Amino acid sequence: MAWQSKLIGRLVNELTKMPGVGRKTAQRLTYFLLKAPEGYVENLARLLNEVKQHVSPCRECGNLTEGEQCGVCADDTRNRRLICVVEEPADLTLVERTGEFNGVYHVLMGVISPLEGIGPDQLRMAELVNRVQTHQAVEVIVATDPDVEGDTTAYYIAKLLSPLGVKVTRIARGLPVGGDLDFADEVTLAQAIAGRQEIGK
Amino acid sequence: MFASQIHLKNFRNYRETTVTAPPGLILVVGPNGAGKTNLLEAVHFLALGRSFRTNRDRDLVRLGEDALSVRATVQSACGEQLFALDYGAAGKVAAVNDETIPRLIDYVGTLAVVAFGPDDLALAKGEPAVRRRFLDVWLGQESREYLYTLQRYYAVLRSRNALLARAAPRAEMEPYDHELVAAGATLTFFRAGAASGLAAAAAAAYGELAPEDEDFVVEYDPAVPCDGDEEEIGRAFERKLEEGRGAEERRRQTLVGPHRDDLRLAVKGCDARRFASEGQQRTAALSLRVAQFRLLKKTRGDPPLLLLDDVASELDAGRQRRLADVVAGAEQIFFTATTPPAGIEPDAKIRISEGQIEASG
Ligand SMILES: Nc1ncnc2c1ncn2[C@@H]1O[C@H](COP(=O)(O)OP(=O)(O)O)[C@@H](O)[C@H]1O
Ligand SMILES: [Mg+2]
Ligand SMILES: [Zn+2]
Repeated sequence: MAWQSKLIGRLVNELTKMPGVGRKTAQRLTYFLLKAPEGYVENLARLLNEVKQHVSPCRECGNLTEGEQCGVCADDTRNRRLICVVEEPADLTLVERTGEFNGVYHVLMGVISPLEGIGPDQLRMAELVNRVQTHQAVEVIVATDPDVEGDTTAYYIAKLLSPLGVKVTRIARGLPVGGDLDFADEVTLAQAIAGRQEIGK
Repeated sequence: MFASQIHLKNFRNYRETTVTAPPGLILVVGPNGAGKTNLLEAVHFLALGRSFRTNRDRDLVRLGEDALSVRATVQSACGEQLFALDYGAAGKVAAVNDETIPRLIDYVGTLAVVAFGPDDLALAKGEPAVRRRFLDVWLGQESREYLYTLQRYYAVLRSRNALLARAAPRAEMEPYDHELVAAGATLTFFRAGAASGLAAAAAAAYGELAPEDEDFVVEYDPAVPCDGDEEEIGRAFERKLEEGRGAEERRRQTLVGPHRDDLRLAVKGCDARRFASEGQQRTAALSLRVAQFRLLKKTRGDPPLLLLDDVASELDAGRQRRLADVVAGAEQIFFTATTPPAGIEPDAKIRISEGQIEASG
C-alpha cells in the first residue's frame, strides 16, 4: 500500500492494540490527532508519559494513585476491618460516590474468567488474604458486577477466606440482572450495599 | 396484536421493502426462491432476535451488504408500537418506539411469535436439541425470568467446560458447580412446571387435528430428577455432578444438566421418534406448535403473531381445514404457499417475486 503513509499505518496499528479500539476507530483517532490544534499532541504525549511515570497501584488496595498510598488508604478515619472488593478502580469510584461506605477497598484488577483464560492467580487474591489477616478484617463485601464472572468470583473469594473466619458478603441483587455496576445509580448501589448478604448462607 | 407494516432492509434477498398488512389471514404467494420464507423469517428475527432456520445471523444479511434492519409497526391493546432490530458490525441493536434497549435480552420476546415450518418434523423425529430449542423459544416468551436464567445457565456452562478442558483445580471449578446447579435447578423446575400444561394442550390439539388416532402423550424428560422444589432439584443436581466427576474429567465437558433435557413424545403408547408414521410425526409436531400458540396466548393475554411456512403442502385437505380451525384464535397469520391452497379465504394477499413485493392488499 504505497499510497498510505507508513507512519500513519504504524500509529493505527498501535492504537488497535487498545481495548475496544478497532481499525475504524483507530483511523478516526489518527485523523483527529493530525488535525488537532497546536500543542494538543505535545501535551497529550507529555501527559501520557507523566501518567505512566507517576501513577501506580496503591501498595495496600491496588487502587491507581500517584504516590505509594491512595487517598482512601491514607485516610485514618476509614475502618480497615471492613473491606470492599471491586473489579476495577472505576468501580471503587462508584461505591465511593454513594458516600455510604466507610471501610477500605481491595481492587482485584479483573475477575475470574475461564473463557478469557483469567484465573485467580492473575488477580490480587493473595494480597486480599494477606490484608484480611494483618488487619483482622471482620467483613469482606464483594462488589464485583452482578454477572456470571462477578458472582463466581465472589463465591471463590468466600471459599478462599472461609478458613480465616471473616464474614464474606455479596451486594444485593437490586441491580439489573446480569448488568454492570455502572448501570446502577448511586441510590440503587447504596441499597445494594445496605442489603448485602452473607455468601453461602 | 398484529403488524400493520413491516419494513425490511438488506434482509436475505430483500434490498428495501415495505409490506402493509391488515389483521387476519395473510396469504404470501410466489414461486420457489422468491423470498416467502425470508419474509416470515424477518418477522421471527424481529420478535426473538433469531431466525427459525439458522443460528448464523450473518447469513441473514443480504450478500454484499454488512448490515440489515427489520422494523414493524404493531397494533395491540397498548396502541401502536414501533419495533426495530438492526444487525451489523455492532451486533444486534433493538429499539421500541425509537428508544434503544441497551441489552438485547431485555427486548427479546416483547413481540410474541409462533412459527410453523416444514422443518418442524424434526420436533418429532430429530435430536433432543430440537425439542430443547422448542422449549426455550416457547418458555422464553412466557417468562423473562426464564430467559435470563437460560442465558445465565449457558454462560456458566461455557465457562465450566473451558475449565474442564484445561483440567482446572477443584477450587476453581467449585464456583462454577455452584452457579450451574443454581441456574440449572431453576430451569429444570420451570420446565417441569410448564410441562403438564404443554402435555394437556398438545394432546388436545392432536385430538382436534387427527380425531382418528388421538392419543398423544408429551412428557418432560429431565437430565436431573425434577421431583420436589427448586432446592431439592438443586441437591439432586449436585449429587449427579458428584457422581459424574470422574467421567467429566475424562471427557472434559459437562455431562449432566438441563442442556441434556428432552421431551418424550408418544403416539398410541409408542415412542413417536422411533415408531410413529411420518403422518403421525407431522401431526405430533403440529400439535406442539398449536399448544405453544395457545399457551402463549393464554399467559400473555394476547395472541402471538402466527407464521405458517409451507405447512399446507405437507398436510392432506382434512388436516389443512382442521389446522385452520385450530389456529382461528390468532389475530394475524402469515401463511406462505407456492400456489394459493383451495378452500382458504385470505383477508389479504402478498405476492412476491425475487425479493420484490409485487402486490399486497
Ligand atoms: N443473505 C442472502 N442474500 C441474498 N439472497 C439470499 C440470502 N439468503 C437467501 N437468499 C436468497 O433467497 C432465496 C430463498 O428465499 P426463500 O424465502 O427461502 O424462498 P421461498 O419463497 O421459496 O420461501 C434464494 O434464492 C436465496 O438465494
Ligand atoms: Mg420457503
Ligand atoms: Zn489504597
